Amino acid sequence: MNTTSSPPAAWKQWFNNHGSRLLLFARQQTRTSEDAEDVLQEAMLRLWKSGMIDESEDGSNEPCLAAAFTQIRRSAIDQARKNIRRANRETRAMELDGTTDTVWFKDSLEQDERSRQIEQAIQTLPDYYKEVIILKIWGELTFEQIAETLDIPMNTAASRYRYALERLRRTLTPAKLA
Amino acid sequence: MNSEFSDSMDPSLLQLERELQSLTPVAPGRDLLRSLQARMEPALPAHQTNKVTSFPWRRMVAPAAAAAAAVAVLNLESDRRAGTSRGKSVADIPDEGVPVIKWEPMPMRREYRQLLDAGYVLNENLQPMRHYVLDGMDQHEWRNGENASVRLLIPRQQRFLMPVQPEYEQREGLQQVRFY
Repeated sequence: MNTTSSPPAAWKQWFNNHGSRLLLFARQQTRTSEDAEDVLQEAMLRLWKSGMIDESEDGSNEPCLAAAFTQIRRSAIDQARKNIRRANRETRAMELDGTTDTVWFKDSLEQDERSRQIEQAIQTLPDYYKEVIILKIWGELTFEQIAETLDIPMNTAASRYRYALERLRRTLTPAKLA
Repeated sequence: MNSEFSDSMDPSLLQLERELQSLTPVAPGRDLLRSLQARMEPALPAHQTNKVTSFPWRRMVAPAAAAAAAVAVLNLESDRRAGTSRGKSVADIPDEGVPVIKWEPMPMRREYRQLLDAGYVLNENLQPMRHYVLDGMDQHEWRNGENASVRLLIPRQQRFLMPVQPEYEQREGLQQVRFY
């Protein structure tokens, strides 16, 4: 990893490839889709300014994905601190109507019901399980990278992942896993 | 396989993991992409124009006067502490244990920048007078033995009235008369 800036076109391509997984993590870290988009923008700008890049397989430089997740988490924490009263109001409102305004996954019609069940099951997990699941499954990070992103020991990241999967299995009935 | 410990996981967990992987997160909307792209565009240099801007003399007068006053007060204070007469250089005041840097005042330079014709006014005898404003800058400078220098620039503005010369003024015509 070095600190050289890469050109905006490369960033655009990189964001097209990874934007959905970054947005998913931002949604998990925030309360509303608007907050998630704000946090994602803020994180990308921070990453852009910091010039954190990795050398990709074809030898070109591209932004560091693990660093992007770290920036999203930091931006979400900053935003939560700034808007703590607003966040509390939104939490209460969501508790009242029992839903969130975000759709996390896009799928075909036949998968639609199933993806909604999984999404709801994930949302019932505690935050510290949710973030590990998202970073592992859709962020495609290693446990080492997850540990670095979340500032936790690697064994903790691995065990949280396993516990999260076990909880999801319990929530989603075995028949639905077929 | 994404799992780093797939060997130790039971089949139902692996199946669940595969199912989760088959779900595709929703992509960011176009608005977000456009907004992000706009914010990531490098800032363009400001448009260059031939606009002539005048030097902000008047805005500088107050701070410069305050700075000059502060220097004068410090000078007086130092003189009092050292029991010296007014006007003696601060650099001449001895201070035990501290290396003394001698700062020598240089001759003050007065520079006139522009003379503005502010029109006509009437004096107390109701005689027409020409009103001029002269903008300038006083430069005070101190130098030490190592050729370092401290420079204090104080903007100066002088206003004065000149008697109207009848023959010349008749030729030019009294364009405007201002009453103050």
